[in-house]
Amino acid sequence: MSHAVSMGEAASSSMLGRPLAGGVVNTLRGVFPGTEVVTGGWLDDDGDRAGRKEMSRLHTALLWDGMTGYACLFTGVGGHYKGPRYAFASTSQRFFEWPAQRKELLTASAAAAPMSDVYLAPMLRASRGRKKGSGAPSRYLWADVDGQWTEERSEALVPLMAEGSFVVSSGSGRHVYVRLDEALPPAAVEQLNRRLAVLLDGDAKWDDTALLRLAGTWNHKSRALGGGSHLVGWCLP
Amino acid sequence: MPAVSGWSIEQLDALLPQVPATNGRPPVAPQEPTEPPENLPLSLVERANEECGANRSEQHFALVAACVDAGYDDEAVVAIVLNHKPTVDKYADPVAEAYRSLGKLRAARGPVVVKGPTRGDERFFVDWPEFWARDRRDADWAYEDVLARGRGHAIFAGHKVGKSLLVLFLVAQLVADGFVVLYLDYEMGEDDLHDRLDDMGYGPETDFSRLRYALLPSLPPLDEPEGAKALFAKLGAVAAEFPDRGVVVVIDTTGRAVVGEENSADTYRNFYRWTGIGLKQRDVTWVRLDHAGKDTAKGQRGSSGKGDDVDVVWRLVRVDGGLELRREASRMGWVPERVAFRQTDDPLRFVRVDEAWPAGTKETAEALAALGVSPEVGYRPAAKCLKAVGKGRRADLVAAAQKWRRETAKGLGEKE
Repeated sequence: MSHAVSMGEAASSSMLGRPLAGGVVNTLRGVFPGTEVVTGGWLDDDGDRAGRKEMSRLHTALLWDGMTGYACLFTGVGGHYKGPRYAFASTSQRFFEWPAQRKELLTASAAAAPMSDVYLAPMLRASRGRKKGSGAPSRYLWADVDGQWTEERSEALVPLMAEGSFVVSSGSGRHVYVRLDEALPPAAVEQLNRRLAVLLDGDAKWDDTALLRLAGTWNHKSRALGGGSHLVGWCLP
Repeated sequence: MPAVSGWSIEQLDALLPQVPATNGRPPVAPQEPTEPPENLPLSLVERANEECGANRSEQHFALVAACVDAGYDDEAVVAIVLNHKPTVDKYADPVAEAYRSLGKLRAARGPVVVKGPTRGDERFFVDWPEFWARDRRDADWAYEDVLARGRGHAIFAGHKVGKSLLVLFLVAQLVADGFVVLYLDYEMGEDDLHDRLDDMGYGPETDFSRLRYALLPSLPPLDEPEGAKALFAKLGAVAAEFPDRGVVVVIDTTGRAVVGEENSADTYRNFYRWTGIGLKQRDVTWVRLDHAGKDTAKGQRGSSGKGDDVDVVWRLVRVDGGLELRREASRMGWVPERVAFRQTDDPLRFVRVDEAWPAGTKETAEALAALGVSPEVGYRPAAKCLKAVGKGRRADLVAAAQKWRRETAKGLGEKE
C-alpha cells in the first residue's frame, strides 16, 4: 500500500469517465507535491466557473464513479449566524440519479454555489431520501475535522493517505476521505468513520446521513461575518 | 498507471483506534434513555424546535444551548437530549453528539474563558473525582435561605420597596462572615451609600476591606463580551488578593448594566451567555436586582426571559414591620417559599423572623385591643366586633392580629 498522495494520478485514472481539463490536472499535479492549500488561490474567483465545476466533478467522480444510486445535494441560502450557530434562511435538498444525472447535479451545484453553501452526502443513497438507513454502500470513509490542523492530526492521517484518498479544505476545517479497497455497507462505514473521527479528533459527521461540502463551491461563513467567501478545494494532509 | 487500491477493512482495523464505549467521557449510561430531570424544560424543547423548524441538527444544538443557558449541568443536558426525539432520531450516538455540541458551544463562547477568582487555570476543567464526590442533595448557602452558594439570583421588587437596602444589609453580613463581595451599584451616589451604612451602624472603624463597592461603575455592558471580560478581570484581581474566600457579585440594577433592550429576551440571554455563565463557572454567587413591572405580581419588568438564566427568582414585598422574599422560581428544591425579615430602625437591621405578619396586622390588633376584645377570642367573633364599629377587616388579617396579640403577650410577638 502506497502512502504517497497521488491525487493527480488518481484524477486521471479511467474511473473519472473522461479526462480532466488539462489545467485542473496540471494544477493538482503541481500543487500536491508541496503546496499547502490549493483553495482560494489557484482559480480565478470570477472567471473560472468551469474550473470550479471541474473540481466538483472530480470530487463526485472519486466518490461514486462506477457505482449507482442517488446523490443528495443539499444547499443552504442566506447563511447567517444565530448566536454561535451558522444557520440558513432556507435550505433545499435534491436527489440526482447517479450516474445518469451527473451533469444535472454539477450544473445545479455550480449554479447554486455563488449564493449558497453547497453540501453533498458522501454516501450515495439507495433511494431518493436521506433518512438514516437509506445509504448505499460506500468505498470511502470520511471525517469532518474542525479547528486547527495540528501536527498531531497530520501525523495521524498521513499513514492513511493511500492512493485515492484525499483531503478537502472546507473553509473552517478539513474533510478527510480515506479510500477503501471495496465498497462497504453503511453500518461498517459508520463504524470505521467513528474510529477515524476518534483518530483525528473529528466532528460527529460519521453516520450515513452526513453532509460535507462539495469541492468547487464556496463556504460563505466568513461572508456572513463581513469577510469574503472561501473556496472549497483540495489540500494536503 | 497504478490502480486505485485503497484500504481493506482488516488493514483499517489495525490502523484505526477502537472507539471506547464512552469515548473518554463520564459514564452516564450512554445508550439507555435516562430519565430527564423532574423539571424537564419542555418549553426549552418547544422553543428549540420552533426556532429551528424541521432541521433536527439545529433543533438539537439549539436545545443544548438553551439547556446550558438555563443552567443545567452537562449530565442534565445529556439526559434532556436523550429524551429529545429529533436528536435520538438523527444521531446514532446522541450522547456523543450532546457532548460534542456542549464542546462546540463552549468553544463558541470562548470569551468567557478568563481566569476566575476562585478557580485557577488548572481548575478550568471539571475535576471529575471532586465532581462526583460532591454532595448535591444538601442545601448550600452563602446567605442562609436567601443566596445559594455559586448560583445566580434575581431579586425584583416595585419602586422603593427596599431591595437595594436589604441587599446592602445582606452583603455587609456576608463580608462579616468572611465573603468577598463585589457590588456594582448603578443607581446610588456616595452620599446615599454613606447614609445607608451609617443607618446600619457601620463607620470608619468597620472592616470593609472585602466589600469592593463600585459606585456608578464605568464597565462596558454586561450583555456583551467586553463587559464580561472587564468584570472577570476585576474578579481575578480580587481573587488573587483573597484566594480562599467565597465571592459574591451584586448587580444593582440589571437594567442599567446592560445595553440591550430591557424588553428583549436576547438581552438576558446575552447577559447570561457572556457574564452569568462565567460567574457560575467561577463558583461565584451572584445576584442581580431588577425592577418589577407595573403589576408586581406579574414579575420582573421587561422580558419574560429574565428569569430563565438564574437559579432563584425572589420577589421582594413589603409586609407589616419588614420585608419578605417570596420565591417565584427555583431550580433547587431546598429553597424556601418565603423568607421574612423584621426591620428595625436604630440601627437599621433586617432581622430574620419565622414569618411575616401581613400588612395591617399591628393596626388591627390595636383596634381590637381598643375595643376590649380578648386575644383569646376566635377570629370570627373578633371580626364581628370590628365590623360592628365600622372597622371590618379581612378574616386572615383578623386572625393574624389575634395571633400577634397572643404572642406579644408571651413576648413572642416578633419571632426571631
